[in-house]
Amino acid sequence: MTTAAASSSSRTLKYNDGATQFRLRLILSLLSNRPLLLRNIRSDDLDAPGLHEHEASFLRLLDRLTNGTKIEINATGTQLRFKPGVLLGGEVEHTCPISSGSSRSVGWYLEGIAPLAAFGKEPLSLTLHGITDGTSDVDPSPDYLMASFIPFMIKLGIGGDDNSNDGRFPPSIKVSRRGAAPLGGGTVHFYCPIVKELKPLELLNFGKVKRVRGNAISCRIPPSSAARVAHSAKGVLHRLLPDVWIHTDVHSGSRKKANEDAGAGGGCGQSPGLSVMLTATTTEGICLSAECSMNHNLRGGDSDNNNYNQPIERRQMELPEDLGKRSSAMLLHEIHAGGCVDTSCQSFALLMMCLTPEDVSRIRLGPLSQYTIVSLRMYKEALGVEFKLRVDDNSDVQEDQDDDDDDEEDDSGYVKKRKFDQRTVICSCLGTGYRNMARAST
Amino acid sequence: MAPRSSVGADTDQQVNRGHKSTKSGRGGREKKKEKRDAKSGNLKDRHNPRAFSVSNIVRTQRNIQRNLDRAQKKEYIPLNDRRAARVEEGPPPLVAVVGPPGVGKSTLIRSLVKMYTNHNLTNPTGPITICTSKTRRITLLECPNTPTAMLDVAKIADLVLLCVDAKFGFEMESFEFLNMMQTHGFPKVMGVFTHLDQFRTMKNLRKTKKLLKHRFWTEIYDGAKMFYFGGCVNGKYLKHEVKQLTLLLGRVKYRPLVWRNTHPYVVVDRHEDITHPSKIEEDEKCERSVAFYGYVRGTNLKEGMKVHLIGVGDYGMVEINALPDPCPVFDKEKESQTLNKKDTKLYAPLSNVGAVSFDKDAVYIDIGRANYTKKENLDLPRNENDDDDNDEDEGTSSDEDDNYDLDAPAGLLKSLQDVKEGVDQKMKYSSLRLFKGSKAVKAGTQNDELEVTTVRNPSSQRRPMQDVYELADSFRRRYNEEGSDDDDDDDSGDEDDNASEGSEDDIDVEDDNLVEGEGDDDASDDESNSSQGTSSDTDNDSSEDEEEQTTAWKTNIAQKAAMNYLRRERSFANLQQLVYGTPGTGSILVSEEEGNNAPVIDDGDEDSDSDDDFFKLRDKSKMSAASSKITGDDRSVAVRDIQLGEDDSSRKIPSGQSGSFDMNAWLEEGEDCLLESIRDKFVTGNWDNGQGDAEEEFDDFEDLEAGERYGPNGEVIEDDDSVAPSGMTDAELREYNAKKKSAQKSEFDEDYDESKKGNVGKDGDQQAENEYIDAIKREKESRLKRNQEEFGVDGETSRLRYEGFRQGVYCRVRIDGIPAEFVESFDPIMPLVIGGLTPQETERGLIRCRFKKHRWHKKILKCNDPLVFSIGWRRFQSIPVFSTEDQNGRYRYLKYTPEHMHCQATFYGPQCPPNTGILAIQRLTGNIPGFRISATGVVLELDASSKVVKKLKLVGTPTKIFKNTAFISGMFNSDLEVSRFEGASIRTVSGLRGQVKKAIREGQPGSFRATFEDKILLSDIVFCRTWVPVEIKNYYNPVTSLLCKSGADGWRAMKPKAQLHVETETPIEVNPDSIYKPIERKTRTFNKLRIPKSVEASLPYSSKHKDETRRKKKSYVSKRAVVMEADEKKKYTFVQAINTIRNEKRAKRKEKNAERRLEKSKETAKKEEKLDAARKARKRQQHRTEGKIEAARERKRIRGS
Repeated sequence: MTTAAASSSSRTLKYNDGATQFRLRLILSLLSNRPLLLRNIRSDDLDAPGLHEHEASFLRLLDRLTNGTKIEINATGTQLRFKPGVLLGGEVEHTCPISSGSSRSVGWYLEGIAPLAAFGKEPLSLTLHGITDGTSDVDPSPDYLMASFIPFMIKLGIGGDDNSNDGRFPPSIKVSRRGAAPLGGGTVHFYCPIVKELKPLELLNFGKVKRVRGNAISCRIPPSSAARVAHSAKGVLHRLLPDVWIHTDVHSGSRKKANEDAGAGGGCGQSPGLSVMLTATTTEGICLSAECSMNHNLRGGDSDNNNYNQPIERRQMELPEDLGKRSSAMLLHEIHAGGCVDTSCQSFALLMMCLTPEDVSRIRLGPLSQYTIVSLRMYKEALGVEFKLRVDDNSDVQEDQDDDDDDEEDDSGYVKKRKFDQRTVICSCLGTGYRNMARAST
Repeated sequence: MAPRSSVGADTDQQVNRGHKSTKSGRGGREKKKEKRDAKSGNLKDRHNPRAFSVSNIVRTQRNIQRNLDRAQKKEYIPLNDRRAARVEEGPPPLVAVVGPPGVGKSTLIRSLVKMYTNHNLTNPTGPITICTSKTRRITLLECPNTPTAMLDVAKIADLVLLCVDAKFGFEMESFEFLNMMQTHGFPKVMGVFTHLDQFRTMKNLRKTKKLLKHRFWTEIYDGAKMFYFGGCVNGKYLKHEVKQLTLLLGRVKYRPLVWRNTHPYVVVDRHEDITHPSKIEEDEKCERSVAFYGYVRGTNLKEGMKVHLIGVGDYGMVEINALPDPCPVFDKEKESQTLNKKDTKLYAPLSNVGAVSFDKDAVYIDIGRANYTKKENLDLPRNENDDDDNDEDEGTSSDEDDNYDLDAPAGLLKSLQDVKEGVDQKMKYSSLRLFKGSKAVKAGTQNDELEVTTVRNPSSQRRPMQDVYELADSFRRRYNEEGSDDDDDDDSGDEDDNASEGSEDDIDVEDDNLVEGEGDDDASDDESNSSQGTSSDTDNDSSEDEEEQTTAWKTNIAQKAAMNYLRRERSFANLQQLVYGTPGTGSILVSEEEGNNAPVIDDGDEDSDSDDDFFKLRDKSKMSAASSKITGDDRSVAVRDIQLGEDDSSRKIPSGQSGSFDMNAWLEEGEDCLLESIRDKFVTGNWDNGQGDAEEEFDDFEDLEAGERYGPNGEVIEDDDSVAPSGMTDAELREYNAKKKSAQKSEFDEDYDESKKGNVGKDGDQQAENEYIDAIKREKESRLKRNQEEFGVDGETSRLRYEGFRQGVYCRVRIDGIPAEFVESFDPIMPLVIGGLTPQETERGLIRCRFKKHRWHKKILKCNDPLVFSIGWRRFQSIPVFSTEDQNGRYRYLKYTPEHMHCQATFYGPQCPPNTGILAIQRLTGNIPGFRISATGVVLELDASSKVVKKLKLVGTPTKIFKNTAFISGMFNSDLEVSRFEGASIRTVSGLRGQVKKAIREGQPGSFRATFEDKILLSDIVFCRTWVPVEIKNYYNPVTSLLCKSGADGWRAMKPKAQLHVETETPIEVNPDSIYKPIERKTRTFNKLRIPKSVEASLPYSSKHKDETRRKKKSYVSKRAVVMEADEKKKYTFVQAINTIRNEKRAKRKEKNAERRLEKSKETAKKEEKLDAARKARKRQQHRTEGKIEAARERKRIRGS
């Protein structure tokens, strides 16, 4: 409340801790029509002070998506002043930079743009070039976003039947060309229709997991490894569910072969990569996803690119079987958490709930991640929405079963009571009644 | 069929007269025939086999289609109504009384108030809230006759009583107001026709009534309610006439309006200037902080929302608090069905009703009118001596003359007179015993040395700012108690706590606790830790009596148990706190006012959800308690210190933390492995655990073996049904089976019927449609229910925190920085409205709207002339640019609005959601005879830049012409400009098309080479058609009508150019180029075409020029004489003769025709003359009658008025 009172005197959102939650802050600035001021962006970093290339690129993308946005960056790049404009949408093409150091995948950009996409003047059709796979420990992959974010957006009425004058098609993310980290070279199309306003959300019933689908993607490595990943992942999941189907999506590097199956994906970028994404669907239509990718040992000699052209097994990496098992374990972990959206989607889901009409929206979440908690605080500052968070007692009764796991939990970023780690959190809020004001009426 | 009337033994049955069949007439005959036929056996069941068949397929089809269409049209999904479901929860509907001066608006309000409350209001000003029945209340508001006030009232009224002087007829103001309502959402309107007693004849009255009624109905809708008020007794209307109006006011249903469904607003009942007096003393014109009071209407008013104070400007709310309702609806517990006159409440702070008014931080008593005698031994009903406490459930009662009780303001006043010592002093000696056996807690024992007693006498004197917070606490707490039935009744400490004074001490205490809590963290497990956390709270609270307290609670076992329970409870409540923290500490936002630590609502929340406060003394400084609570818990420390780093990854776990999950744990195998624990989350798992509700009836039978029956791959559902519940006798089993079977059967039947219905076709469609609409409606209802239930359970304060101040809450809004002019020039009759704005609406930008000049407005509107717009809450002056959308989507600039057509207007102003209505007025002030509303429209689009373009023709002249190429100059001024236009298409006046090629060096700068499709002339003018964007002037001037004594007259507006011309007597400047001059066209003389000899030589003979010179001598042929032969000559003469005859005949015929034509024309002229005369006569007659009617009407008018 104090913050609210403070903000009323000056509407600028000011932050002194640099580029933390960079995208979310920019987006909230756009959604709440409040100027943003970021100070001390890596001001103590001697090697690379100020904004990084991907952040500047994200700013450029936002500038292209809006009209009337003013961006001011100081000479060293350690301070950013952002005055939001009107969201436009339309057809935009953007190349995400690939630098030797910390380049982010296309998913990083998409994750940032996703909350805005539905509130432009026109449906957004965004084409991004860059890294599509292989960074799942940091950023979501486009496949993951398609499996997790898009169903959630549809639940909010984006691309639904009743307000689809402008966009008849549901939102979608298509990977037309794969490009694994670090060299990238992939292409992703993101389409999102616009809405007048969202629908209030009521997502409390988890249901029962009825099917698991997945996709094992390999770029420039022997096709058998994708099959091995799929096989081992299925091995774990079959203990619980017979309906498991994991596709293998093999991209060979050779140009000739790429041309042969031009329809399928048209080859891939320069780097090898292996990743897998699993989605569990429940009887209530809830999609939980987990993904993981082969660990690139980026520490050693990431500058010389020849390293990546070698077969991936030769570089002391995780076995495909382990990758499969890891992915399925991650999926089981998500199911175990019991939320109606998976952990990486939490902050997005809560943000969208803030933007619903002035009705109560409710969602059941698993343990809140740290990112989510910090986001929640930011939503309160920027949008004035405070969620009612209550631990649901009925969600699970097994309390004393797995103590060893609990300890793990405790150390990790999950903030819950020890005993009740399987308890879910019901988050409810009253939406701000956000309406798409950019959209022209006829 | 005549039923035999049975008159028999059972006499107790009623005996009715039987039916007698017709014996005579046609009926009788047919009956007889029927009987005969029946006897003979040739009776036909149906006489006309086609009677019910379709005779005309097409027509039938159309009929059906039409009926369906009509049914479809009737179907609608009602607008999302966000008003409170129950009337008493919502704010009182605003009933606005509107009309031109002198129609009897005040009289109407006076009569209504008298009717409801039996109170004589001398001068009704400002909103007047009255309880009209047990569950209803209304706010009456009179609308002054200024355009600004009318605009404001049109935006806030729920019901409009449109007063019309029937004797005078409708006036322009009424129509203007109707138009305002149309653009800002049409609330319910009822007509009130007054001055009906002034008609002399009954006939005249009847006719006027009918006339007015129909006019009224065309404006609103057919059948709109209206009332006729005749006489006036004692300055009030006749009782029975007003009664009728009140009867309808009690039943009226209000319409939900889009704008008010999406925006909160407060109609201000009253306001107080709470600026520090010394500040005003220093500078009279200093910015004031003002507290506004009123019911929240519309949607939820949230903290931190920007508001627009209509007529003043945009402000942020510094503070908003809920206050006890000054005019609460009647207590439902009382038995009486109706409201007693005595119990009716009247709340009209601006109309001088009642002498006492309550504020959050002060009680104001109008001493001028109150005159009470002192009375001894007047003790207060409660043991608390808090001065404000007694009056909480009291509004200002209307008549405090004689019949008061102790709760009444009069009683309060008397008690105040008895006060010998300050409240704080009294508080020192007060004690509170929490439990029967426990030691009483004395207020005085708590840090006496720090206490600075300030003797406070509740009076109308204003308080300095610091006190506001203290009193705020007490008031709010009382309010909380009301709302959430909270148990904390110990307000003993709160009056004394002065945050600034007690802070030093508190900080020490807090630190101690911090150390303690952390020490315990390491040693003990979670449980004991949290208990430490709570105990540390208590420790903190009673800084000096710590020892005493702890011993007291060790002895009390029941208390201990309660604490245990509460601890469990709090572990859940904590999550909220962990995420959001307590205010002040949880912020990562760098706020300017870091020192501001008076989060009023939030520590109120703490009160409500931590029940263990019950067991301790209230702490002095809440802030320290709160922060220690947070720091006492180890987890909260962890949460507080989340450092995400600057990677901005939603997945990456911040450094210093280990991985999120253990893969190996999931891959373990065995009975008790982790994997097995989530088996029930899959369809192959046990279905009963999670969803017990679904199969509740079977739960009883299988609770014991639920876990065992389901193997890893067990078929669940069949299994569940087929296994007969054990432990039943055969009979029970049979019964059970039978029940199951019948249930299945009925289910099947239902499904079957359903599917059959669906196949019938149009019936099925209809049904599906109805189901769809029903489903939508049902969803809406459930959503509304959810809205009400979700936050209601946690008590009032937390509810306010989650959803803001919902409608119906009486609130106090403090706004800082209001200009002193507002306070000085405040006029209570002007409506004062605080309108909430969504974040998007606070920014300014360009608004494109569909716009139409009002057809009653006399003149068309000129582009770039200022207009006063009214959109949303705001009214402001801006400069519109008109445009029209061309076929190709271009927005072409228009100089003026079209006369009877929509155009588009683009102007700069605060953004507003699309589809919001717009109203434009040219001049707010001055005596304008006609219709003042200039135009209406609707917002279409918001943007940061406009697309309006204006045609620009660049003109140049050829300097040198080659074949198809020409050098053109004068079009551009520099080579740079030319290069910008390279490739642009140009045209000559004669229509030759061409293209700009390149700039040329020589000659005038900006000349260029161009090519055309043909050679152009040196006299041709070449032009290039371009479109230039029109600049829209960023002018925004809010109509701050409340900042001047004379309302909008004192507001300084930009004047239109024409007005300036008139006022300054400057002639309109004339551009000589714009004057139309007679066009002088030289007659062009073209020289004869000369073909060079060489060319001619090469031409073919046929196209060669034949030069024939006059011959001097006759040619050979002409010189020769032709001698015909006899035969030939004969033929020739014959032909000649025939020709002569024919020529002769033709001449004769011609002559005759001419003659006949002459005759004919004469005849027609004659006829025409006759017709003309008749026409003239008829016209004359017509004019005569019209004149007569006009004259009669005039006479009538003169006689009537």
